[in-house]
Amino acid sequence: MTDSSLLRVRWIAGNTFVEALRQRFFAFLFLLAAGLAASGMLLRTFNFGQSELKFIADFGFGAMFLFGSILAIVMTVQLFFSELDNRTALTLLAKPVRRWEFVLGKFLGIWTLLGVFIALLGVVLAVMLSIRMPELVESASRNGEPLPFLNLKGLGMFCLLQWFRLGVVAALSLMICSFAQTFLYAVIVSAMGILLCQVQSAGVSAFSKPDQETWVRTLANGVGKVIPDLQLFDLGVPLVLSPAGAPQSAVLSALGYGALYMPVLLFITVFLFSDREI
Amino acid sequence: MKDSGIIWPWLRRRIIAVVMLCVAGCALSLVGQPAADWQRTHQPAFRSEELKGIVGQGVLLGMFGGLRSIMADMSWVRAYSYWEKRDRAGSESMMRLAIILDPGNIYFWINAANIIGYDQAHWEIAAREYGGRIKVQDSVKQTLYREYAENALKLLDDCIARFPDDSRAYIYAAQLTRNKLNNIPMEAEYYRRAAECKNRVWFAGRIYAMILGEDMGKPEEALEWYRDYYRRILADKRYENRPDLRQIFQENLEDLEERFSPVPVGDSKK
Repeated sequence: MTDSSLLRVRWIAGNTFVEALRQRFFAFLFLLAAGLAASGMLLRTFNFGQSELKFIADFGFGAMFLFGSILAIVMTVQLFFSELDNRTALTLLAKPVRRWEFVLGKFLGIWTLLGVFIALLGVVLAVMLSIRMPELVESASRNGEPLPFLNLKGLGMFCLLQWFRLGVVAALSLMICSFAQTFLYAVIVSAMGILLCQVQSAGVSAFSKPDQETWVRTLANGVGKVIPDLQLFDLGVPLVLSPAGAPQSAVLSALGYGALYMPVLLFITVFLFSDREI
Repeated sequence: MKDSGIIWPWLRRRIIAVVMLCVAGCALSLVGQPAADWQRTHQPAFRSEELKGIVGQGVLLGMFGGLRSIMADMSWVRAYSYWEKRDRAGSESMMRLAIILDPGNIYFWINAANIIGYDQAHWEIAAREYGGRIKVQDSVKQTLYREYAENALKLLDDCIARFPDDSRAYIYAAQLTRNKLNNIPMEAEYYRRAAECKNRVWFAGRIYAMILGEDMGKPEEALEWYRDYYRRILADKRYENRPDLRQIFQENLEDLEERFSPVPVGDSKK
């Protein structure tokens, strides 16, 4: 990668980021997600048998992935197709900008935006948990119950994991955009794909039991290896609320998995996009 | 010919992309293996046995990260609304959904089992079209009580398999066994397991010994078991700094000795 390539990628990424940030959709989704994260404090009465911190944290974790995934899919598809529909991609690619630079720039712009989204939500969640923590500690020590545990560094690590997870989601959406013909098709297929990635480990586990036919088990294991497993990044509760934490090997493995999946998906995106007529 | 000349390169590119995706997926699954292994042993929510027949009940949405346990809570609230209407099918499906969504919460297991075991038989008896609870024959009532209690016990046994160190499920199972099945040996066995599990409660061992000695007519066996149990408690390091609890166990032993010891010769006047 030459310096000029890097410059062009940075330029496209910067523009994509600013364009995405200006859109009301980002602000709208962030407010929704922050509202959901904050509502954990108000809905505590609906908590059954779990620790209160876990209840509040669950709202934040859920908001991060649900709204983050919506943002990653819709924003990626919209920014990609707006370039095609407005013919700006045609102008851009007529200049000495290679297609891989265009794809990489788009991805980095969106991934940066997702990083901002996750970081802001992480701050909201940290504030919510920190507000409740002293009162819960006091109440637990008064009643002789085990003291609640909160690890804000673990929350930072969880946010990093979610950023990588959403990176995979965005890269997958970009790959679908590279061959999709319409915005709606790309959004629907991306959403179905993410759902599949989210439930793949459950599906593999269900179809690879010993009572299944051998070919069913083989097929399930094969499909399980090919579809990205987004459940790997679900380490929120052990990282943030458990004194034992999550083992470093599991965290590094999930980070490595995300970090390697993104370039692979981008490579396939470039491969498919390279012969597309614009 | 012209068409095939266009389609083949298009198709070839897509086939190559799929092959690349498969190869990369296989290679990367090795990278993600440590995280996957840890998840499967420590996050039991996605074990296959909990995933039977639940598609279409909102569980897919529930699988989205942390929202899963929120959805479990909401399902439980919905189960309560059905419970108020005495809707057996509605409450049971919502309770089971809550358990599936958040199987790590013992509250759902125990309360669902209590509702099935204690309430639902009454609902069915009251709803019998030929007369409700007054006119329904006792034999039919007993059959229904037994049927629902057995369903509840199955749920509690699953709960025990998932939380073997928590004495609560054993205690509820023991109470249900006595109240609805009147199966004393089975009740005693649940209390024994509650007394011997990791997070035991102090009264479970005493109740087991009392049932064994009084209801089952084996006082010597009861006393021998409790003495051995007391020895194990004294050897347990967790009780080293709990003189209050050790005192309770000791008092229980003394009381059981008074009740179940054979009367010594010459002490019959006492």
